[in-house]
Amino acid sequence: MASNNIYQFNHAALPKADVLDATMLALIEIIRDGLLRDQHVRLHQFGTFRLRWTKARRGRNPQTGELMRIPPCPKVTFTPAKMLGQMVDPNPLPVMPIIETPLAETPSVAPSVVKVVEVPPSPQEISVKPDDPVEGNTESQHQYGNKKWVVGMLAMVPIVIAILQADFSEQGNPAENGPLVTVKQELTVTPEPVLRTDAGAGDSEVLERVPEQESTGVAPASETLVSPQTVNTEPVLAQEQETLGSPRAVGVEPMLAQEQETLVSPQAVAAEPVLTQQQETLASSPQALSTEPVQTQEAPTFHMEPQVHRTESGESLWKLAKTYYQDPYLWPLIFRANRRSLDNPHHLNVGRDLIIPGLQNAAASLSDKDRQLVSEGYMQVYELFRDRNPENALYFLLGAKKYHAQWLRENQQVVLAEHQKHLEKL
Amino acid sequence: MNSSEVVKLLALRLGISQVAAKDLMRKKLEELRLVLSQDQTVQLPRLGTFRIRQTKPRQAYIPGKDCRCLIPTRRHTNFKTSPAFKALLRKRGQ
Repeated sequence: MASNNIYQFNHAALPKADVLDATMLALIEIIRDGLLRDQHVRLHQFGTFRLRWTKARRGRNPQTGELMRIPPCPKVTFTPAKMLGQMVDPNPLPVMPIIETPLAETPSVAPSVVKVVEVPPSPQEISVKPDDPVEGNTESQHQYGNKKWVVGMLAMVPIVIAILQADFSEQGNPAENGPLVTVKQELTVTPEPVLRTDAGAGDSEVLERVPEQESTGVAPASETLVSPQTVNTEPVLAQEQETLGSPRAVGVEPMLAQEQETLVSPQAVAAEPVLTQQQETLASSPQALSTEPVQTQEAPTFHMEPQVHRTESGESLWKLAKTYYQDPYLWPLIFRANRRSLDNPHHLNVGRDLIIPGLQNAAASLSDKDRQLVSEGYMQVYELFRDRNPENALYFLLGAKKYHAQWLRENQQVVLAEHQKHLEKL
Repeated sequence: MNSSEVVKLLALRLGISQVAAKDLMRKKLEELRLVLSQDQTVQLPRLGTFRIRQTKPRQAYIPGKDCRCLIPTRRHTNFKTSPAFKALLRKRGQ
């Protein structure tokens, strides 16, 4: 065919017109006419010719360097059809996602073992964010990613074994224990549980307070602990019993690290007789912790520092309160501290930093100030839902009444008229 | 202007039926595709030149998966308008 001659020229000059096939020439003319009329020319299973005009713009003359106006310019674009693209590139390589590995080397030993043996972190790390890497644990966190709960569980095993194997026949000399609180010999026992619904402040001087079943973690045996640091281990251990297996118990790790130091250090050896009692209570349910006879002593000093928590998928204020305070009903406290950033307490965005306010006392024996703050939190939630859903808002009003009725009596201006009758019993 | 209109005009210019013109056009375009698939340059007079270009591998970002990716080497068909036709278009546009 005469039309084959044009294909013999690669990067050659313009072939002669008479060599070309008449069909090809006619086709070329038709495409030219269509583009000259500002029309798109679409050829089936080949491609589309389009005419575009570039906008006028300012540029520089490359020879003289002076500014000049570049007028609009026509541009013919060709978009190949799918069939043509498949024939030109029949086997295209797939797009490969780039997987970034942050570490060049991976540890050869199980990181949980390395953590327990080599790195005893300091008590100050309790204020570290749960997601921040603990010193010495970087490799394990990188390798295991978000599975911190697995590492926490594995780290607990040698601690439990050490507790079981320890000899608790002698009590340590309090004087040798350094900053430890002496254990009182005369202890008072209260068989009856103290109800939290009583109006008034939590009395920190009462030694015989027994926690309710609602509040988990603070066991009576914890009051016999001699170290302020070890006091915190009790709610942690009970918390761990509940939250074992929970991937979002991010509060376990920093507390766990603190517990490691207290149990490994020589000062903790003196507290071993107390720890056996704790171990027995750990095996039982949380309810059993509260029903055992209490050997009360001085009120344990509990100071939970304010923390910052970064929310993860599936978390809620209820779960955060349960994690940090061992009492999920204290969630309005967190809502109150983050009122500016939270429009709805039921909706948390992932990756948001929330302030977890501190408590002066444990959840079982809240101070008057803490109760008032919780009541304020409930009232804020009540105001939020008061107009939208008065029926549900009533529950928050009752919650505020439960924690600090006196404060509610003084601040009941925002209460709806239909809910006033519930406040008559204050 | 789609393929059916091109066939009508082709039949008018060549003085043949539309069926024959359609068949002719199909064969001609098939030849062009075959030549381009063999990595050859096709030069159409008074219109432009078809070339096969190979792009270099480059990195890109996949927003849906939130990760970077590597786009490998690809072959594309490139068309360059002839200068005379371009001048004609500019003249018509002014």
